Amino acid sequence: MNWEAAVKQIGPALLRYFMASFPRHLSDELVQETFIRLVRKVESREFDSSKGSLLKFSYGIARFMKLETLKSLPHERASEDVVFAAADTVSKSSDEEYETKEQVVRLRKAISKLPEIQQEIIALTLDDEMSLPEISEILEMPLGTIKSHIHRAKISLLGIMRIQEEINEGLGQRP
Amino acid sequence: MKDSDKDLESIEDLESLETLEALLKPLKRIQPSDLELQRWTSVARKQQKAYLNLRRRVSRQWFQVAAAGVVGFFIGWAVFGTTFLHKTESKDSLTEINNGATVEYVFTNYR
Repeated sequence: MNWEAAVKQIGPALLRYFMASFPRHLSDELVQETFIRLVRKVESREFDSSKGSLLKFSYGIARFMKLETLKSLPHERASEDVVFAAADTVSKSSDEEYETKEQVVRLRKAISKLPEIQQEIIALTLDDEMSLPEISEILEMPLGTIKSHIHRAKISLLGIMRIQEEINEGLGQRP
Repeated sequence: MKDSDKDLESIEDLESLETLEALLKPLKRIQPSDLELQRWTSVARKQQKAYLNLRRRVSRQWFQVAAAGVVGFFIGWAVFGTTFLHKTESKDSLTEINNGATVEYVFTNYR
């Protein structure tokens, strides 16, 4: 297998998937660990291309890793703002970049407030190549349920982000 | 379900996805750096190499075990081959002796 091409194809999708829940430094490590496990499974012929794509297979591993990390590092999410803020201060190169990073942190914070299954669906929808039927296959859920979760997640996310903005504005107006 | 309801549902789905896409734009824009891609590639290659080496080593060890088994069988056959044959031939006499011993045991314990 040509792993260079596979990494180029799967790597960005996995990074975004992990970044929906974890800060960048941890997501980077998790992607690396996912590739280690993926190579092992592919080389030991556990991957069957007739059952689905390599991307789908790697999402299965990534999901497991995410749950494992959430179990072993329950405070990682809580501390992400501190870690991210510290990283931002160091690498703040332009206003635009800083704004994007801030948006990502805010978004991740909002996603973390959603029910677990909605978080998972949102993380999977970050991949443009992943269709809804594929997501329903990965999560072993009916397509209709996935759609309704997306609808509810959208409403919840909008609400949470609006509240966050109001809080931020309130804090900004404070003398 | 009516067709018009289905259409309405698909429009709502589409709207949900579009709004969600707009919401998630900052996360969707994230791309790994070249350094990260390079590191993941080298990790994957190293892992593949390590796995191939391990598989080669394990298959070599299995081959050694099988070869040792075959060689051991032939050595055993050459050394003990005739003895095995002898034992089979004298099986009846061995049974007889055993029977005699049983009788003797009963006899000595008899009062």
